[in-house]
Amino acid sequence: MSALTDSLTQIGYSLRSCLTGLKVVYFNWWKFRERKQTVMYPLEEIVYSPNHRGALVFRPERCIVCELCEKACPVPGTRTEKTIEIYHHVGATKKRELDEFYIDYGSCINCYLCVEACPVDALLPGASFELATIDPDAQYDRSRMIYGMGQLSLQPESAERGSFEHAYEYVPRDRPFDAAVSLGEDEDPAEETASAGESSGAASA
Amino acid sequence: MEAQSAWITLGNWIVRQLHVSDAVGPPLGLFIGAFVILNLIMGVVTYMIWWLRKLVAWMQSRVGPQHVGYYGLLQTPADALKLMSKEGIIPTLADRAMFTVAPAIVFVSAYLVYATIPFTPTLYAANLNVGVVYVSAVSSITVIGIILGAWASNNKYALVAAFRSAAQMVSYEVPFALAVLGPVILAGSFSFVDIGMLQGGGMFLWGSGASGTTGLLEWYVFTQPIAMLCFFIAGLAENNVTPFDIVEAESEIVAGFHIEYSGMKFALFFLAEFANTMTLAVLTTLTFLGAWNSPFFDALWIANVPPIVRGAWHLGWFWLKVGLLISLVFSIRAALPRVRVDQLMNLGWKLLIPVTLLNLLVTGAFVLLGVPQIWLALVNWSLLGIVWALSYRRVVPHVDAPRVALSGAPAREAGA
Repeated sequence: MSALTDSLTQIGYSLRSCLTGLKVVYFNWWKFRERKQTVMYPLEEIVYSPNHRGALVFRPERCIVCELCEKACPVPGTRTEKTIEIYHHVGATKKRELDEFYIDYGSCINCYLCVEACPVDALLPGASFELATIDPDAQYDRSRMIYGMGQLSLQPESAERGSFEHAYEYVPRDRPFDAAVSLGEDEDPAEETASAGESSGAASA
Repeated sequence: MEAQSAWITLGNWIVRQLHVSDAVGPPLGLFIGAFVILNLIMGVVTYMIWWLRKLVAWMQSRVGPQHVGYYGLLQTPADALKLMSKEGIIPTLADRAMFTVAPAIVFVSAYLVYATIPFTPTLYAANLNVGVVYVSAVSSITVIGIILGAWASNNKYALVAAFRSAAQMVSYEVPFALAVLGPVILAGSFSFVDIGMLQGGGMFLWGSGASGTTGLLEWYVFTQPIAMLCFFIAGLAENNVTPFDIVEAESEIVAGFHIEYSGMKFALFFLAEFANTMTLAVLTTLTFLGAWNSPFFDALWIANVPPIVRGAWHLGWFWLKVGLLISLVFSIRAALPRVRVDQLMNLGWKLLIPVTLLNLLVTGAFVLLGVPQIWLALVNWSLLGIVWALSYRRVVPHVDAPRVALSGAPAREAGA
């Protein structure tokens, strides 16, 4: 009798477990709107956390041209021997003044060693990650992935787009799909942002 | 009442319109019916695949096919087009003839089942008086196609998978056929049309149904719930769908017996797989869930409406039930993990076959002794209730250490 009841218990438990599994999936289906995990990426994107570490943001007004970032950079670039290139001249006050600052995103590995090396926080991790789509020709010519001060200061900063409160919520995309439009030859990117970057940078390189 | 097949009626009508010989009529009608059913299977399977992808996606918090057509509705037609345009690769060392024939055998056996399936009381190709036997015989031809295809493709993995598949399908043929015998005994007929007609009472018609002896609800799910459970589980296992898809086992092995197949030949296997799932839903509906009858009390007015309206009403209910069952199969696919081979065999041989045999014995005894069917229903449901209550007795601690004979391990003491 014990064996029989044990068997029946096992059978009943199995059936009930199956129903439990079904209950879970049906409940998931019922709550699909709240539980949807897929971000329909080009149509919508998620709010990034402020500590999101995306493409580098360069703030030329802070830079003291110490070149520590260039020394810290571990990756050779496609065009030069460092991923970071800095051009400067010595000004009238015997201070170094920045001419142009390039990051070669064709070879940058986003290790942020340059960010850690920078003593004045001129380099910061930004929010942008769509670098490959900025210039459509970059897939044929890697040197077009070299961005100068103009493009780098254009990257939206984390604080602008991210917030801890609303991190990872879905938002409809309010930027144009084709990022090249906002950086293209027709419009001057400097007009859209308040930053002083006016160099055409890699686009002309 | 011996109703005439709607397809033969259609053929005769065409003959009368075109003024040709009477001998042409019934075959012509049946040919049209075969064509319609073939295309019906194609269409339904296409959107079954879409529904599977959508439903499982929703249940797993994904979105599923989205971009091809509205709600991804054109995704599976696009996939079918892709499969048609693909190169049909035949391995060099394969047996070309057998390799080509095998998918056709599998699909034809899935298709032939529909010859005896009535969608309404008159919409069938043939009202065989051995319909149930025919269906279980024809649907087991699938095994031959699978073995043949795997052997012909000259691939040891395919062959091993085919052996596993054959073992599984042959094992589960037995409880599948035994479980359906319960309704057959109650109906006193092997014909699906008769079995469907006898469940015409609706859900709320007590004691005056067509079968006469019934004291409770007419559908056989109320008098044979255990048989229906066994039938459904055995059908799942026979069709190699989750949780019994150890043959295919997408996450572990590569596609099983059709590993060497590509293009349209693979599509035929795929089509047959989903057609078999549909067959399972159709057979469960026919034998247990009241076939084309609505759960409401429609016997009062259904005889007085035009045949078209009656047919549409019946078709609607039939396909509603089939759709719900197909959705159940798909949600089982989303919910349950895969069983092991030994668990599969133990379930079939040590649980389903004894239970269905016992059900056959009990049902036969009840019918033989002329006991009203309400007592049969009471016995069945109280047994299910006992099992349900016992399942709360104590929590089974671990799946890998089962205490009872289900996995072959010796029973442990209750207090241990």
